[in-house]
Amino acid sequence: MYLNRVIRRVVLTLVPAMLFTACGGGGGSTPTPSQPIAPNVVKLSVDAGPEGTGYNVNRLYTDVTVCDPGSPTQCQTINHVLVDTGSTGLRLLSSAITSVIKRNRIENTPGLALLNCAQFVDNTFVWGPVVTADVVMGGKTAPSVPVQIIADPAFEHLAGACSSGREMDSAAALGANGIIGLGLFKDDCGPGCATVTGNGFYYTCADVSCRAAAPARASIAQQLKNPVALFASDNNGVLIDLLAVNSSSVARLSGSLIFGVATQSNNQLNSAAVLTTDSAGYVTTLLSGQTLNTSFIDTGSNALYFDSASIPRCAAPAIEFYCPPSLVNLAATIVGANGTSVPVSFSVENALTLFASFPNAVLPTLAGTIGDAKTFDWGLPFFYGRRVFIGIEGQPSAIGTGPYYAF
Amino acid sequence: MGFSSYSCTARVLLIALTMLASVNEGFAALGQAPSTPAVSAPAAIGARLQAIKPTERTSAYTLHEFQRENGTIVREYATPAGVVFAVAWRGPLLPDLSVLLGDYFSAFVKETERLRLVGRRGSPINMEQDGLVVRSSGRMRNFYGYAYSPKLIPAGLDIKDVLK
Repeated sequence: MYLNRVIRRVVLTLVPAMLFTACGGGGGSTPTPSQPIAPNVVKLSVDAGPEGTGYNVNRLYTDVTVCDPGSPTQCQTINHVLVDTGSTGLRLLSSAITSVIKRNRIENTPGLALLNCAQFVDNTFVWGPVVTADVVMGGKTAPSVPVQIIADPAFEHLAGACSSGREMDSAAALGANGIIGLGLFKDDCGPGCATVTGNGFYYTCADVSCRAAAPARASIAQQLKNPVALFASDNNGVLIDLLAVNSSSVARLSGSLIFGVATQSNNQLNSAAVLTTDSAGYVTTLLSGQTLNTSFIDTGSNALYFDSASIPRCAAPAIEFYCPPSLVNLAATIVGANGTSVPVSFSVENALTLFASFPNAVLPTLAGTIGDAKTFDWGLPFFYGRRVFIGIEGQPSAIGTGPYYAF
Repeated sequence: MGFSSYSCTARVLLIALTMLASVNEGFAALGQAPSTPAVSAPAAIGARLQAIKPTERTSAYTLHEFQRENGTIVREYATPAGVVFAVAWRGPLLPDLSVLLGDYFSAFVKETERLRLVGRRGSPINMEQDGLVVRSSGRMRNFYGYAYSPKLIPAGLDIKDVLK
């Protein structure tokens, strides 16, 4: 069959490319940053990612500046920090940081550093000490924020929840120089880590040389934070505003991360509907007669992940992606915990054909299986061509108190 | 799959055992004997376990349920012969899958690495090969999933009824 030949050929060319290529393409040097038009705006980009880190598809990046607390001059700007609305907290690779902030360690007890473990659902984790830094984004500053330094070589002893799985300890592994978690929650763990020693998120060095790590409590103040909630104003959420993509793939896409919900002229709701989430951050998706009540909207997922009985899967080895012979248009409805519902139409195209557009990093119709009868993972393609608000838990706004999504 | 209800078909009768798990109870691994009070916590586990339900026995399998100190609830499903054929979890952290999956963990790692190579990032795990099925989903602070080996499921038992 012609189609099979095409798939086989694409697979044969695709997989070695994914395995072995460093991303030399992808548009060359970083574009000259233009001055944000308002103090509550920073630029977003979906692009090839840090050089030499492989084929990064549908990954959302921004720049983050970290400063020694209280110092306007001891600062460093880290580029290609992954914007993840599915996690909380700023985590920066040790190898990307040259500034003094690595010294400002939060200590569990005097002399013993506080360590953080962040698990991700794809069997990856990041590990490292917690430091304090001022986080500057555009004209906004979050003062004295607990920030994780990923894979600091002085703290290599892994423990607990971070002792199995794949450690993301380099830009190549992470596809980024860090992660900024701007999700629905203020803290990466919450009250449980302040009271339970074996909480799995926080550890401490067992001795001053950190030759071992032991479980530890971390107060709310010590835990990693959504820095937006710590801004003096425009602190009740974010608006992710990405341009629409009008073809199957493009090299890069730009957009804006706007701080605050209904606080300025540039973050008004307009016609968007507000969907509150349940306490765990989930909404419901109605799709083809299924009620998927642990669905989430997440820039950190690089495709739309859901189960379909009708769309063909790709040939091996990419069987967890969909490969319809031609474009498939689908309609779903997303329902908030408050009962508000919004129809969402989306499209799926052949993933192997999309991947063959390498090095194009923006693939709006990329979708894969999830194997879960309760979940639709609305990954980054959901955000293309939409204004999506994310309301932070407990933070009031003109449209209600978080956690909520609005779009 | 939720933790709010047990599958209670007519064929599967729940009989509570009097055995209470100790707080030091460790995970059992897929393909191995279920946790018992005699099993000490493997070193890799770290956090203590707290039994939140007595071990329960059905006519077709036994169910062992524990809550980790961090809040994650882990269930083990064992054959009458005492072999864990399925595990499930829900809570703020993933359980230590290197322990929970036992000898099957290497197949899980191989598969998750392959999923990375073909381009999945930040995505739930949907694995069905090498005698192992794993579904792992959720976000930071709220994970859920299950794993089982089709070959280990007792004859006549529908895994969907067990895990629903």
